[in-house]
Amino acid sequence: MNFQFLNTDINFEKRGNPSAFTSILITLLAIFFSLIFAAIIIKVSGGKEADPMAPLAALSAMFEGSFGNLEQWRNLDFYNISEVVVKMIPLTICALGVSVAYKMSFWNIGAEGQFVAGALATSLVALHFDSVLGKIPLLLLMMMLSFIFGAIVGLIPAILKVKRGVNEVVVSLMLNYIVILFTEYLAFGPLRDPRGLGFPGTREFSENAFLPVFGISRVHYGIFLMIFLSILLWIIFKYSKWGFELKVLGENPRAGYCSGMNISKNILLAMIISGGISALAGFTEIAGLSHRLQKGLAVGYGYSAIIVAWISRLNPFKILLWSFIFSVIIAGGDQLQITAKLPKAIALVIQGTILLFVLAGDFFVSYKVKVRLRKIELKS
Amino acid sequence: MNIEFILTTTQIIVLASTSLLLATLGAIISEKSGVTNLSIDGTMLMGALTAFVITKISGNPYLGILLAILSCGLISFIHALLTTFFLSNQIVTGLALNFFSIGLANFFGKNYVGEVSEKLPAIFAGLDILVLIAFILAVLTYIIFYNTKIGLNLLAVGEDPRVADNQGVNPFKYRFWAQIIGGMIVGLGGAHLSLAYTPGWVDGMTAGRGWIAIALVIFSFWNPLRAILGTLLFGGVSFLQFHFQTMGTNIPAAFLNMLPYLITIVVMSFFAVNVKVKVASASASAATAAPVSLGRHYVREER
Repeated sequence: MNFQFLNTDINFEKRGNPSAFTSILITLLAIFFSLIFAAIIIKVSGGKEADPMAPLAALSAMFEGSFGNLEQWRNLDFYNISEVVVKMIPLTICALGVSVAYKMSFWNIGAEGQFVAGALATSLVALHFDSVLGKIPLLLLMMMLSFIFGAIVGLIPAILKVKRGVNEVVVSLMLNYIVILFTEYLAFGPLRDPRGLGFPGTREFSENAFLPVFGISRVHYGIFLMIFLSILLWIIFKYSKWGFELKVLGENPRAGYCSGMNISKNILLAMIISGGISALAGFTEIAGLSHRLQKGLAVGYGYSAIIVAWISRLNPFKILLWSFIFSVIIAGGDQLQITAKLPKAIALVIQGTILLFVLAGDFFVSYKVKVRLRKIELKS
Repeated sequence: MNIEFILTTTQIIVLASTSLLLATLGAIISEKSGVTNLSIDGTMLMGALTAFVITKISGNPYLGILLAILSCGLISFIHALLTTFFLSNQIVTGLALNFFSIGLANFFGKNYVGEVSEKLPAIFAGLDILVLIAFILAVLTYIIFYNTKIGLNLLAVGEDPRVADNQGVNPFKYRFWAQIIGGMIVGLGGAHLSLAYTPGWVDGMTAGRGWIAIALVIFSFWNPLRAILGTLLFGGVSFLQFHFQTMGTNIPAAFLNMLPYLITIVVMSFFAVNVKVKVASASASAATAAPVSLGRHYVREER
C-alpha cells in the first residue's frame, strides 16, 4: 500500500514475521504515551493558575495509591496493593468471560449486566438460605445459581442472533441497562432491609455466606477461582477440540461451516459459558466483598473487561497480567479522586487511550513503513 | 383529546426524537462507507459536554453547537485514522474510543454536574433550530446518497471498495471523510441533548442513546428516511415514559426507565429479517440491506 503526500512516497510493506520484541516495545510505548496523555488532560483541566507540576504529582499520587509508599512498605503495610488485587479479581473473571465469546467473534458487551445478574443470584441464595445451609453447600449453591443467571442473560443475545439474525452488540448492551435497573429495583424494593433505617440495599448476610479472606486484608478466596478459571480456559483454548472450533469459527466462519462445525450451537454454548463466567465475578464480589446487594455495584468492571480481553489478545495468562495493570489504573483513579479531587473518570480515559495506542501500534508491528523523498527533476 | 394536547404531544415526541435522529444519521453516513462505528454513544456524550460547557462560558448556544461539531469531528478523526489507515479492528476501535470519550466527557464535566445553562431558543412552534436541521439533514442525506455523484461513490465504496477503487474512486478518502462528517452530525445530536431536550449536564447523560441509534440504523435498513420513522417511534416511547411518570401510576420507575431498552430489543427482533447465521456473509447483508463490505478492511494489495 502506498500513499503520496506532497513529494514524499509513503510505503507500507507487510512484515513476514512480526517479532515479539516489537510488540512488547509497542505495548510499553502505548502505556507511556497514555500516561503522558493523562498528564496533559490533567494539566488542561487545572487551568492556568494551577501548579505546573500538578500532572506529575497527580500521576505519582496514582501510583502511590495503587502500590503504597516506601514508608508503608517498610512497615510491611501492603494495604494499597491488596486493594489492587481486590479489584483485579472481578476484572479478570469478567475478562475471561468475554474472551470466550470473542474467541468466536461473537461481540458480547454484556459482561456488566451478566456480572450484576450473578450478584443478584448470589444475594437471592444468601438471603433465603444463609441461616439454613452450611458454609460450603451455601457457597456452592450461590456459585451455581449465579452461573445460571449469567448464562440466561448471555443466552438472550445468542438466541436472538441465531434465530433472528439480530445484532448481538446492541442487544447485549441494552441488557446491561435492563439487568442493572431490575436489580436496583429489587434491592431497593422487595429485597430491601426492613430494619435498614432507609439504607438503600438488602440486609447483610450472615457469616455463612462470606467467602473466606486472607488475614486482615479484603483479598478473598475468589482469587483461587480467578486462577482456576484462567488455567481452565487456557487449556480449553489451547488443547480442546471445542477451543479449536471456537477459533476457526471466529476467524473464518465459512471454513468452519464447510468442515461441518455447527455455528448456531457453538454461539449458544459460548454465550452460556461467557455469561456464566462473568456472573461468577458478581458472585465473588458479593460473597467476598460487599456481603449485601446495594447501590453502586456496577462500577464498570464489565466494560473494562472488554478492553482487557482485547489488549491481551484473548490469552488467559495475558489477561491476568493486563487485569493487574488495569486494576492499578482503576485503584489509582480512585485514590486520585480522594486525594486530588480529580474525577476518577481519568482511569477510563487512560484505559481507552492504552487500547487505542495498542491498536494503532499493531499496524506498525505487522507493517514496515518506508518514507522516501521523491526527487524533483528540474528542467533546465 | 383537544387540539392543544395533540400539539404538545407532537412537540414532545419530535423534541425527544431529534437527538436520536441526528445520531442515527451520523451512524448511517459512517456505516454506508463500510465502516462500523460503535463509538456513537461516547461521541454523542462528548458533543453534549462541549455544547454545554461552551454555552455556559460564552452564553451563546450557537457557539456551543459549533464547537460540539468540532470536538466530535476530532473524536471521529481518531476512529477514521485507525480504521481506514491503520487497519485496526473496527468493533474494538469503536468500543475503545467509546470508553475513551465517555471517560473524557465525565472527566471534564465533573465541575458542571447538575448545572443548567442557556437553553437553545425556540424558533418555530416551540421547536429549536436543531430540530429543523435534523429533519432537513435526513431528507438531504437521502437525496445525496441516491442522486449525487459523491453519494453514489460513497455507496459504491461501502458495497465493494475494490471495484470502486478500480473505477477511480479512492476508498480511503471516502471512508475517512464519511466518518468525520458522520461524527460531526452525531455531535449535533449530543448538543441537542444538553441544550434543548434535557438542558444541563449529568455524568453519562446520553443513557445509551448512542446505542439505540446504532439499533435504529439496522432497523431503518441504512435508509435516512426510514430513520425518521424509527426515531419518531422512540420519541413516542420517551413520551409515554414521561407521561406515566407525571401521571403517577403504580408501575415502579425502574420499569419505566427500562422501556426504551426493552423496546429496542423487541423492535430489533421483530424487524430483523429472518437470516439464520449459517454463514454470515454477503447473502446475509443483502437480505438486511447492510453495506456488503461493512466491517471489512480494504488493503490495496491484499485479497
